[in-house]
Amino acid sequence: MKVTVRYFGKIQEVTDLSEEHWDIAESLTIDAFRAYLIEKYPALKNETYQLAVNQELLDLNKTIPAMAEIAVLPPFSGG
Amino acid sequence: MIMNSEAKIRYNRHLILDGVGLAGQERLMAARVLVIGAGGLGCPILSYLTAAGVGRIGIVDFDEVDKSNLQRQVLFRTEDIGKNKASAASKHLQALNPLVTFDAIEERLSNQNALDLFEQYDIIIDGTDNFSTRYLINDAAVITGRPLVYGSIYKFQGQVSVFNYKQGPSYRCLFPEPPKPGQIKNCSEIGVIGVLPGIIGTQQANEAIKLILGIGEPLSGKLLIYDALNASSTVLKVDRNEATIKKVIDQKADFLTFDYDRFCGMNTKIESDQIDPQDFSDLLNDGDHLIVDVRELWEVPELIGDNVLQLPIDELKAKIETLQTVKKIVLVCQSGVRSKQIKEYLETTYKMNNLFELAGGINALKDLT
Repeated sequence: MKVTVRYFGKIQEVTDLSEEHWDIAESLTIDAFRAYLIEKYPALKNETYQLAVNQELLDLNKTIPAMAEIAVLPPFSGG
Repeated sequence: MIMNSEAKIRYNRHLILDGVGLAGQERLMAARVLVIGAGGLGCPILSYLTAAGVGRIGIVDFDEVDKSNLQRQVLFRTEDIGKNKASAASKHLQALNPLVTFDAIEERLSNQNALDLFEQYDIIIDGTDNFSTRYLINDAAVITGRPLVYGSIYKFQGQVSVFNYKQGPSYRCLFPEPPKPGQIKNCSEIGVIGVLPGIIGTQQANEAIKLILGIGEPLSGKLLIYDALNASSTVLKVDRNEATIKKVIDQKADFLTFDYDRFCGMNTKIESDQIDPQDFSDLLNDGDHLIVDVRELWEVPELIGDNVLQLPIDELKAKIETLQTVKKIVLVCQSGVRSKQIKEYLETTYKMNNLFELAGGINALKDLT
């Protein structure tokens, strides 16, 4: 099933993209998706970020619905 | 409260506005707001709160105005360079609105002064530039029960939210743990587009004014992410994590002794392979040491000395063989983050054992004077 993955802040520098479309297995959990993400971008292993699904930060064991928008959000510190 | 004629003229556009009016303006004039950091975010926050007539505004900043701040910190003038930011800001703001009372607090916010300070204000606004202070502010806001208007920036993007408001989430509910040291760089290391803190700080001022007036929907339970490059905003829902908040409250007794710098991976202790900033001047021009400045060539202030070699990261690798023959090398960068990373890299990859680093970088030298 199709999902849109959006990258923010420093994560964009790791992926070199602000957004991309993925085809993922149905009933994939957020935690499992995170593993795929690191497989594709190994440098993410050392980064701190949260995953939001359809604009919501959810438990990692929740499954991702079809057509979901997944945001990969790192903290910012600047001021 | 009886509003005098000067105030009625000054605040006319509020008084005639539905949703503010006389009652709203009186709320603004009775409000006490603490702004931490008078930098890129602090300047627009302070300007708009002052113009709006917030009754009492506390400004916390230990730092001095630097020429490189003027690209975005629009409250300051060229003649302010070298002056403390809290007092320079309050001087300009007082000229903007004589009806506001300012407390210029020329101190670094710490766990020693935070709780007392927070209790003197109704709303706390975070305009700081580092994770250690951001976690400290969050915890002090949770402990004192003060709403926190949060804003932060990274290159062309910014985040805004309202934490600890009514039964809403805290910053730790969004990011429970800080990133590893050096992972997320700040504006002094990677730059920032000057107008971005203007946009994000103005959003923070707007959230604070909404909280005071009790109008609209505060960004509580929501994180707004703004991207200046495509002018897009994304709003994410953030839930309150009861266990996270309870932990902060339960550890209230430990707040005064908790080491936030260490929690955020900033080691404040000088290690044996680090050079204490106090001792650094003895090593400049000393023939036994080679001082390698790993900053980019455009970074200031320039480090001058007979034994100083400018070797930005990209050029450093080509000089490894030469560096291996030197007795003692002191790596220097702006804040001590890059020098530590490069030192670890050279020690791991080239088995070098002649390396020291200046703790806290050039910034630490500035603090000495």
